[in-house]
Amino acid sequence: MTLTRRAFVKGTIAGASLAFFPTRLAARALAAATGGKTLVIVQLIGGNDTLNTFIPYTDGRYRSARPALSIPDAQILQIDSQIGFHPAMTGLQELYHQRKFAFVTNVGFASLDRSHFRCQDVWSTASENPGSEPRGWLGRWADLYAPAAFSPVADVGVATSTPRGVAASRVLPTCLIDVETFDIKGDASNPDEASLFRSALRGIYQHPRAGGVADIVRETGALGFSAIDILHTLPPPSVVVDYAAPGRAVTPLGQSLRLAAQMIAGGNGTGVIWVTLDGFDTHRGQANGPSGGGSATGLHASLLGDLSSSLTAFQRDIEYRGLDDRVIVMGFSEFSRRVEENASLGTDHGKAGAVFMLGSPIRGGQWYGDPFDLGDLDEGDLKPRIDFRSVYATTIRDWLGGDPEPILGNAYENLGFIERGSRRRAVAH
Amino acid sequence: MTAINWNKETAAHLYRRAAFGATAAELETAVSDGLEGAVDRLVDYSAISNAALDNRIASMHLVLKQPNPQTLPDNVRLWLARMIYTARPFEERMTFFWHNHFATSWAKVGETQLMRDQNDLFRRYAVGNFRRLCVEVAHDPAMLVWLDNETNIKDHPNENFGRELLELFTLGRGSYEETDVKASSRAFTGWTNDRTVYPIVFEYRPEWHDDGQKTFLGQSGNLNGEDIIDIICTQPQHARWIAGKLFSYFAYDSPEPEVVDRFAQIFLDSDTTVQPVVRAILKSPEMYSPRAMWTKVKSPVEHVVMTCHMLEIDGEIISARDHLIQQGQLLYEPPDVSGWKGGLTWVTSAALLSRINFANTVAAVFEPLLFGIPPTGAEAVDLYLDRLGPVHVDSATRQALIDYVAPGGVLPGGVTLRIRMRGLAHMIISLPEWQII
Repeated sequence: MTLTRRAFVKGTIAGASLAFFPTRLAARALAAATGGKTLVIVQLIGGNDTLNTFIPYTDGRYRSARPALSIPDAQILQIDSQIGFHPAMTGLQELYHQRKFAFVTNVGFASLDRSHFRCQDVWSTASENPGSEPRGWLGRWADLYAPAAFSPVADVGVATSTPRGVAASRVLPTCLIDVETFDIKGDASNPDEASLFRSALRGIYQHPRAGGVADIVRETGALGFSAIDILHTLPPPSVVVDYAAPGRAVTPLGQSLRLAAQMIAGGNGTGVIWVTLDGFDTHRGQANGPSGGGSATGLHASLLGDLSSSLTAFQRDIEYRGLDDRVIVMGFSEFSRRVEENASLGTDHGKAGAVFMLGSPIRGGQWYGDPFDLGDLDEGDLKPRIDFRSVYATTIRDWLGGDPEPILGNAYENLGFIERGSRRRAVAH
Repeated sequence: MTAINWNKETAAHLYRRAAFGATAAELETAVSDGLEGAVDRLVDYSAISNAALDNRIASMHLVLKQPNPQTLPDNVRLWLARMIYTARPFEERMTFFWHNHFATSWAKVGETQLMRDQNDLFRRYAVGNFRRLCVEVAHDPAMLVWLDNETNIKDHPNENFGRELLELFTLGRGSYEETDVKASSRAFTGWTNDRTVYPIVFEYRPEWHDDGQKTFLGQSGNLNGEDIIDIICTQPQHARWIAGKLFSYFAYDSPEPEVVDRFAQIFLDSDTTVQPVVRAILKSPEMYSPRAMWTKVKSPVEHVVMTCHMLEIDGEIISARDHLIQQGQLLYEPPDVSGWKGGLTWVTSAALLSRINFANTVAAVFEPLLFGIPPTGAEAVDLYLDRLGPVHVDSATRQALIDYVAPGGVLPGGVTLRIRMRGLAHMIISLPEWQII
């Protein structure tokens, strides 16, 4: 086949399909990737209730604002004299004590307006005028810093749509749910005809169109066809770590993270993996009432339990694979929720919240920012005191590599939550 | 803006946007009817009999009563059958529009009967009066569950419905203040569901309702929910919001303000009735302009329904629902209250593979004799491109299709010919050009 640079850029998932390209070129491209580093984004969709996640349990105002929803002291997983974790987060508490988990308090931006959709777009684009910025912040990073030879941006676990945070112009993300469905089927009764069909269709997707929407579809398809080759040669899922809670099936988040670990272990240079957990818009029934199990049970508890156990399994998985010095996780939600509960055992849209970070390279076992100030609220909501772009700037500067300023449009404070310099532990590869 | 050149291309465009694609017979009728006649035939559907559809649905033996787990897929099968086989495609197009506009998900409502009742409401008001539709939606048990208004109580109002009513359903962000959200939420307190009956029904609970003074968009009084909707429906911004959304659905995204104003005026003049607006949009020069033609991505539902409709499949494709799940557009389960994001967000590698594999399933039961079998590969390709569009491809793609159907220029014989013609239909439906409308 004719190898054009364009086909090379768009034709691979994140790395190189070695079957397609000269081995030496592919190997050089791999070496030039993000230094083998991966950032996993966990987007908590709907607006996570920060105050019942990282609980200021010694503040009496927490309890008075939430007569029904506050978590009883005895059940809170205390991490220090001010903050305790939600009882469902045992795994993350353990990781906090192992200094691999941290969080940043009072994160937000000046124009937080309680709209899910605008706030999600602001977080994704790192712009408070998101309508004018078609690319995501990680897409802009990839456009600037991804090696020219191929796209290191691949998002995993999101099949339904491309997360706006990784939307880019030079590189294309790949989306999938699982490897099994990720293939071109042909005539089931006639393998020769099926194979003829596949190669004809692949050929048609190779040559660029005049432009417009059809060519975007073509590029994405061509990328997908190449990704098939890579994904069907990934290392198997972990046989050591069970992503399922005892007696339960693996959750969709667990499946996404399990596949993310396979992608990372595949060594294809995937720089960014984006997974989501939906359901945090807990206007109602956030927790159960006293007769139904109490405030430490219910919807929010099961979401945080899924989050905690899936992330804990993921961290163990990559540790067993000896890759934990190459991976960090950032978790965010579009906004937090009102300090005062509503009458439906729920909470309404709020403002500033918390971002969490997980990974061996994280300076964990501590939290960054001021304590939550329940005495100084903005219309009943936590005020933003740390711009979310500081979290991004820190992540770009100290993890992904590159200058945050052209990506974020301004200089932002480095929060220092990522270990710089030498590796913390020797890892055998 | 130049006059509209009415021909096979523009008629097919109308049917892709305002119906679910045209068969050869439908397209012929639309061309000979002229623009006015073709649009009116679609929009004025109330006298068209749907007896054949009703018979088909009756023969599907659907299980529609919970708790049988089959009700969930069968609810989706029912609506897909309507979309594919209806004699009134515009009615289903608009029902689909309202489903995405007042986006409500079974995932939280949890009762298929309520989802179906809401769907019937959208079908009843498909081209009807918006103000009345909005009042009905505010009383709709599924919506009351979905946006928590059933627990909106005066002491601690739940703002979910009160906010999304303004942000998504009627005005759009930036045309109201937080105080309006609070007033709107207070006005809908006590609009709840009676959960002592099955299925649940709307109930007004005066003891939960806030009777106090409220100021909403500058008007004060002891306002209730209907007052809020009445006030909204007099706002020019409301007319722009709805007209703009309808225009974007049929013609193109981000329309020019003056274009929106033109259709907003029709909406206001008709006391918020939808039919005159959509009729005007479908007859407008903008609808057939280069900004509109072939500039949208087919949504998964459009892809599934058009594939079945244009290949004139008689049997049911049971896996359609699985493919809609893989592509992220399962009917009755939009991701959130803002509906499906649409556009380029549909274009992901996994979703494209799912489209290609769905087309494989459909092509396997397609009858090539419906389209006829021409003597040469080139004629076969041109015929299929015409019947499935017309689809326009460049010469390299056309040649690749010919080389697939008739390697070396010769069509195969016997059973291979049938496989290859089905493969051709599969391949055209898998083309980048077929994913756009």
